[in-house]
Amino acid sequence: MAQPPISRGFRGRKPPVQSDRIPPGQHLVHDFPVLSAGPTPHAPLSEWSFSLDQGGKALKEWSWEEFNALPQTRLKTDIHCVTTWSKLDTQWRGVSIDDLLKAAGLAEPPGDFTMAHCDGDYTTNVPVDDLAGGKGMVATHFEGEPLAPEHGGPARLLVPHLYFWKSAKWIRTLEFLDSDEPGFWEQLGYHIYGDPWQEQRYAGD
Amino acid sequence: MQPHTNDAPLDGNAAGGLLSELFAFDVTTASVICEGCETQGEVAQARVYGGTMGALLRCAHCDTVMIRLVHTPHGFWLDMRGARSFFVKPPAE
Amino acid sequence: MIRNGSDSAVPRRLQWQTAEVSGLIDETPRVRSLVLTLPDWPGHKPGQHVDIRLTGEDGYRAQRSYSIASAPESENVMLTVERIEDGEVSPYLSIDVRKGDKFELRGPIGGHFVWTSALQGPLFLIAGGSGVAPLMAMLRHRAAAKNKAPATLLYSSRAFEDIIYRTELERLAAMGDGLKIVHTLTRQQPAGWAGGARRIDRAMLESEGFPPAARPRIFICGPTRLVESASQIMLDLGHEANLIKTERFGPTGG
Repeated sequence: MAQPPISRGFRGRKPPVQSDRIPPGQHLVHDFPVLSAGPTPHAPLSEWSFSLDQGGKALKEWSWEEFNALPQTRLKTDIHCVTTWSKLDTQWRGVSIDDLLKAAGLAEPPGDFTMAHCDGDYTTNVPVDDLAGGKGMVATHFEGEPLAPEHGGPARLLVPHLYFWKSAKWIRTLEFLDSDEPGFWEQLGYHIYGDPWQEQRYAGD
Repeated sequence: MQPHTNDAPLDGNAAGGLLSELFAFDVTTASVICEGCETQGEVAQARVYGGTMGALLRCAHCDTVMIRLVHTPHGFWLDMRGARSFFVKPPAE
Repeated sequence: MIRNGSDSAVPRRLQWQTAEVSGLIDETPRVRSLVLTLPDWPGHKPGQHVDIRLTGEDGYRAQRSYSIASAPESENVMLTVERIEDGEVSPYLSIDVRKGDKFELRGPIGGHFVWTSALQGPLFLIAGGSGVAPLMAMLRHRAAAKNKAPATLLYSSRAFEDIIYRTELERLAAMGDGLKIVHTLTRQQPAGWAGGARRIDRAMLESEGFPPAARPRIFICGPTRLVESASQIMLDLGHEANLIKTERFGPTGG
């Protein structure tokens, strides 16, 4: 139908906010919406591990205990979900990608691109330049508490300057690649990079 | 289908309206064989997740993603690599 | 006349059409039914749902699915909407909307969670909260079709005032056509309450339902937890999987 009827008085959510901290087309929320592409995993921490991989082999793998003994980084940042909500001043703690590379004995990242692999068969691609140099971390704490399972706990990737689907929940492996490959949503019409300030929501934006 | 902010899934029949944008028949009454566990079941009994970014139909037995659907302003994206085959009965006379 | 619904031999592509609100019924403090007039309704089968799409003055759109609560024999299509706090669509539909308002609708949708009077065997309906809506379409259809096969609705609500369609259910049960209604109230029961006073559980499903040998058709609709536990119990009790149909309701973005 060419001209849908206007539903008198329907406003839906709040209108987009004009602010130098809110990217175009976003609106502010104060809660923390849950978006899941699958069932929330509840595996015990004794079975959890995290690895840096390349070419199908682990360069380094950490148990939960070992992972928590790595240097901790705190970050206060704004997050922006492609479904148009933004949340300001969120506080995170975890291990930076720089510290992970260092702990794995890698002077240089072994590839220019990465693919995050997660429980529930979720993947997402992020260039190394958007993770190294203090830009990304594997987060285990949110607002001072262990990260809740529905928000990606025990650990999620955090790349706050890209749309939040890049901050993959339930991360288990960060794989280094020589070329950029699309992840779970990127194969299905979402933008390969996802910069909220350029409003790169969908392929072709 | 309903975008839902909870991580509880809905049944496959909830995706009927969305699937009708692509198929001329009611896909939810078709049966599908999951690529992950080879179980055959009705699409209506699969689990629907992630209504806000796109719709995912996961196998009710093994959680394999059978169908992915994304509606963007530029068009429709459909990925069915997790669904081995469909069986569709002709509509009743 | 019972119309063909989605059964028609030629598959019919779903189209958005404009629905006009022609009536409003306050069912409970949190639930309202909308009676809709549609320019082009092919008829439906009890249990099917529709998608509705709202468009704000600024062009913002939101889409939701709602079960049809009316019988195919009814002249209008009725939807029943439960208000979800902080929801985007349900507060509009359950509070703001007035007679004469318009929005887009497409349907009917779904060929799985459906029951018609032509199906044989007893009918066992299990509902939680507003999950009763598609089951009400089945009961209204059953009464209109003068079906006398035994039927039971086991319906869980939080409190007495949260029971949707209460007086109509009483009236249907009083018709003496083989329908039994069993209420259970999970949070609060009025003084002298004779019905159930706990969540739907195995003992309730076993005593109120039909034995597996009677091969009842079982429809379960409600919150995920109720649907999963009730369907598992029915399987454990020996009912055939292909006779059990489920539909999960939110909690959703509302």
